[in-house]
Formats: sequence, structure tokens, C-alpha cells
Amino acid sequence: MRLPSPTKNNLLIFYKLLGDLLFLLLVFFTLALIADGLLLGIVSSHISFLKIIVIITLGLAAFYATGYAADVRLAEEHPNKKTTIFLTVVVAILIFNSLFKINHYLALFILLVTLVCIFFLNKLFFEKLS
Amino acid sequence: MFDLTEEIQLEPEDRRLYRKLQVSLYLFAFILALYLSYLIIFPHKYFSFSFLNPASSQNNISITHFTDEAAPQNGKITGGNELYFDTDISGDFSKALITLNLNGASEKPSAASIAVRRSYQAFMYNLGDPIGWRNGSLLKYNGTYYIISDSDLRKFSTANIPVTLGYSEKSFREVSAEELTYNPLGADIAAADSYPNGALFRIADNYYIMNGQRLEKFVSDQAYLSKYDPSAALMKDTSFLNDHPISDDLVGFSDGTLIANGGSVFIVSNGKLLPVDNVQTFAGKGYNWNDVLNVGEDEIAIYQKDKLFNIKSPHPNGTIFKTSEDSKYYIVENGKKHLLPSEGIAASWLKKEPIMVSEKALEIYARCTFKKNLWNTSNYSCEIPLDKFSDLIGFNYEFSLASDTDIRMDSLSVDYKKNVNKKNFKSFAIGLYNSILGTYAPTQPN
Repeated sequence: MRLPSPTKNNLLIFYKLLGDLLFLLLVFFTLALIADGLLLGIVSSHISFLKIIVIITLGLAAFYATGYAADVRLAEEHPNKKTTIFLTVVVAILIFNSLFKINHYLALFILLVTLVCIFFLNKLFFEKLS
Repeated sequence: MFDLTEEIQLEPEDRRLYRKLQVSLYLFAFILALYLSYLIIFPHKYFSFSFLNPASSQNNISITHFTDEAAPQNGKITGGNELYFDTDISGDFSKALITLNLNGASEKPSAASIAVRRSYQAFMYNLGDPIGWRNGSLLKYNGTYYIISDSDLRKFSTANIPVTLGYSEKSFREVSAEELTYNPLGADIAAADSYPNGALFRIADNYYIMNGQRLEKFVSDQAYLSKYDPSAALMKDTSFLNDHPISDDLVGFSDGTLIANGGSVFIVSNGKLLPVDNVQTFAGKGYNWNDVLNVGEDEIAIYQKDKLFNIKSPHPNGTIFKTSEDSKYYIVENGKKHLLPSEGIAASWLKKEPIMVSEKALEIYARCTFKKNLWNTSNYSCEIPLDKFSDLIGFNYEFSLASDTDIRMDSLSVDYKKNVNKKNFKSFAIGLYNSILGTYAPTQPN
């Protein structure tokens, strides 16, 4: 017996649900990273980050595959300013926290250098050539 | 309800279906988050041992011995014999579920039971002979003077001999006749022409001990003070060094001493350093941060590092326990605990805080009887409430398993669980607070 092939409408529903799932996974991953950064092992002693990353990667792959199958064509979007600021703050907190035991001025200096490196790497890889 | 992919428009009917599925997904995620929170707040710890693969690194139960001291083999327990095993776990748990997975060919027990008690593993060691005074101790009884030399009690034949050797009367500790009976009797010291082994000296800001008619230098003042009081050493000038050969060997810290170097804490035992793996192990084993000596590279260079000291490791040789009920002292030596029979004898060994233990705890047992599981007839399990252990010191649970018939196990497991209640939540909150404090509070300068 052959399974009926999914209709485009079903694929679209599935695509939207996968989007929600990815959002939930990313929220969980961010919170888990912050919690484990603040208190080592509070999350990772129960569920490994490798498993979370594998699940997110599979979700992402499924999201793109479903979008491709449903012929979803989205306009290319640059990350908005709010998201960029939020991610920068989270990354800064995690980096500073990991350097907490060393001299705070040195930690701030390393943090600043790291953020500058991330900024220029981002520019190098993702900025459109004029 | 928000829509993360609002660019994708659905037909009204599909939209309703999507909303229902979306709500279900978020509800499922919420329940999952609650479950994860439950696992974090009320954790359970699982221990197991496979008799089919006894060398497996997955085995985290320590199978110790049978009642008759024989080593356990292939999971067999003969009727009337008891199998002892240990688990080490920090924190208080509400109950333990013990499961036996019997071999298909095994007899089925009609009355198998298990008992558990909790303390430190080393404090549950068998009792050895009492131990007397530490080497080098100076004692007096009824006008007679003694020195402990090579663990023997040696009498100075006359009261003049110690005076001629340079000892002051204040250096000798007045003891009872009984306290002199715990060291073997050695030969009398009849002449004042040489110092016995164990004699201590302070020469040019260094401490030395006489051993085999050679002077052995202590690696540092701290090393000397971890064993002896300053008053026990005879003051000598440097010419004394010319008259006596000096050994190349350096004398280190007393067994059981806690030392810190480069951010790591070590326990000195049997001429080796046991690195303590983390703060939880240090606290869980009853150690006190005030007893940690900061030492230099030269002081630890005389030692080899041994394997990590973790929560499963028993207290090493030289550890001194003090009972909370009647202030009795015990010292751990070579897999046995030995009574230090008096306060004075204990003081000769003790230069830091002892590890507090409860002697009563050794008599407090919780028991349960195994019942066959309904869904798997080879599995027998029972649950022991652990509430009665919550105020006891030590995190080693020693189980003794008995069966009326000969049985053969394939595996054995213990699952520690916490009940969902206010007390356990409070304990989690306090633990969390202490962890945050330990991580972020500034450390006290020494």
C-alpha cells in the first residue's frame, strides 16, 4: 500500500509547525546555555548539549527540506537590529562569565577584542561586495 | 496567538488545524520544560553493576565482600551468606529502589532482603588494634621518662639522661600507666651518648628528626608542624650537623594533611598526593577549608601524584575520625580503623580538625524485602525509605543483601530518588544559593 503523498497545504502546515519547533528549541538552547554558564552542570548533567545541537540541526534541515518541497520562497532578510543586539548581549554575558575567575579588567579587554573580531569576521563573510 | 511564519498564508480550514497543532506543540514543550525542571530540582541518581560484565566502566556500584570476606563471584549468593556493596552519593535522598535482575537459570528466592546503613566508607571499615603514641612523643609517668622511638616505648634508664641530652622537663607529657601500654616496649636508653630514633631537633631554622642515626630534614616548618609541636624539638646549633650524618631524604607532611598549590587541593597519604577532584568531594568528605595549608612547589616536589580523590574514594591513611557522641578518635590505616585510646594519644596524631562521624550511625539500618516484579519475573525489587539517614554524617551507603536460597544475579541496580516536597525544594534552593556563592563570591585572601 502506498502512502498518499502530502498535499502542498499539509506541507505548509508542517513547515509552519517546524518553524515553531525551531523557535522553541532555540529558546531552550539559549536558556540552557545561560543556566549552564552561570552554574556549571545544572542542565548538562541531565541532557548533553551535543544532543540539543543535533536535534536543532535536524530540525533546521527538516525546516529547509519542507520549505523546498512546499516551494516556499522567502525574501532574503537581514537580521533585524533587535535580534542582533539581543544575541550580542547574550554572547557577551557568556564570554564574560567564562572569564569571571580572571582579573575583571583583563576579562573586559578579552571580551572587547572578541566582539571586535566577531564583528569583522561577520563583515568579511556576510557583507555583500559593492 | 503569534505566528512566526506569517508570510505563509493558509486556507481558513488549514489555519484552524495549524492553530490546534501549534497549541499542542507549545503545551507539549511546556510539559517537557516542567519535567526537566523536576529532574533538576528533584534529581535521581542511578547506580548499577553488571555481573555479566564486571569490568565494565559503566559499573558504578562497588561490590565489596561477602560476610565470610570472600570475594563475590559471578553474582552468586549462597543462602545464609550476605553480599556487601557500596554506593557513594552526595546529598540527601528520600528513597532507594533496589532491583535484582536474576539469571534465567537462578533459583527464585522466597525471602531475599536488603539492609542499608550510612556513614563514611572508611569509618565502616573493620576495627583494627588500637594505636599508641606517634613516633617522637616524649612522655613521663611517675617520675620516669620515655620516648616513642620507631613506634616502641623506650624508657630513659635514669632521670638524668634526658637532661644530659638537652630535654627540658616541660617537653614531656604526663600520661597514665594505661596510656603507656599501647606501644610495644623497646630497649631502655641507658646512656646519654646518642639520640634515639624519633628525636626531634631545631637547627638553623630547620627541623630534623633522627632516623637510623642520621638526621632527616623536614621539607618545611609546615611539614614539621603537621606532625609535632614546636616544643618537642631540641634546639641545637649548626655544629650538631657536623657531628651527625644528614640523610638525603626529606620528611614531608603527616598522612591525612590537606595541602593546596596552584589552585588545587591535595591529601597527603603514604608519601603520595591525592588531588581532590572538586569542591563537592571536599565538603562531602567532611574536610574543613581552614585546615588546608598553602604550600610551595618545593614542598610538593617530594611527592608523586596519585589518582584523583573523588566522592567514591574512601578516606585515605592518616585520616582521623572523631565520634560526635563520645569524642572517641579513630585513625584509618591500611583498610582498617584503629582506636586512638585516649585524648592524649589522639593529640599526638592530630594537628588539624578531625572528621566528625557518628558511631550510632553504624547501628542505624533501614531494611526492605524483595518482591517479584509483575512484568518481569526475573526481576526482584524493593524500596527503602532513607529519611532516617537525613541527619547522619557521611554519604556512603553500605548495603548488605541476603537470600534464603542460592541465587545468581545478572545485574543489580540502586536508584536514589527525591520526593517532591517542600523540604527537598528548600534543600535544592540552598544548594543553588551555595553554588552561586561558591562560583561568584570573592574568595577570602589568606
